[in-house]
Amino acid sequence: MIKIKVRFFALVADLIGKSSIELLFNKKKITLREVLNHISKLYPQLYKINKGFKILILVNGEQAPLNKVISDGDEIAFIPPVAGGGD
Amino acid sequence: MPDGKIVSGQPNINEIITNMINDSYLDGCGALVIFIGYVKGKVDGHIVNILSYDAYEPYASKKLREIAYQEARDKDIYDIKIFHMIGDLKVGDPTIYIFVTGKTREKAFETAKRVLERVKHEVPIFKLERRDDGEYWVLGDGKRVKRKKENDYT
Repeated sequence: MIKIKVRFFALVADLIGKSSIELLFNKKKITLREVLNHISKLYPQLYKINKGFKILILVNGEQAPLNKVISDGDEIAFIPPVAGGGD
Repeated sequence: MPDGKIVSGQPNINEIITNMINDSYLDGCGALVIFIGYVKGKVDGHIVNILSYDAYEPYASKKLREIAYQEARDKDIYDIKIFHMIGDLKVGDPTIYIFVTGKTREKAFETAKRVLERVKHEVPIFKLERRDDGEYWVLGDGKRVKRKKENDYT
């Protein structure tokens, strides 16, 4: 069993109406690609954003390839363009 | 020692300045550059009431520290400290502080500018502008998207 947390920020959290969810997979091994496919079925609106910006996907705070193996306890985050700092 | 973190209270600026100067002058430093960003009262002709900052922690603080350490590797830079505020900030409230000590003013100014640009583009920090004409997500370099109801951004 693999349990992961998925976090959504800012506009992305608005889009799906939640800031985080937990997912359980009854498997011994799963890749980031498979997790994202699952999330796309749960929240198809995530993949229909058309505002000229990209959503970055992080695994435990780092960018990762789609074939990365996701482990129990990992955290995936959907990050819209960031806007720190001053002007 | 370089440092960077997300904070919800204002840092003690006088103490930081005193410590950074005292730590660095014997190493030949003579320049301290400070950048303070603060909340604008007007954007695109509209009054801003509140600017809400959120951050993906602990990764935002980790990235701020990483930027401070990387930019302080320059032989002419002695120390860098970055503090980024989160929460609901009022007009005029500081949003970010960057302190850089170095051997020359050119190097210190140049480094402070580069640190700010890196913070703006690399750190998972999010900004919601609450204005008299609605709420706007600020995405990247000044692009604004009006906040809508759930499932309505397509």
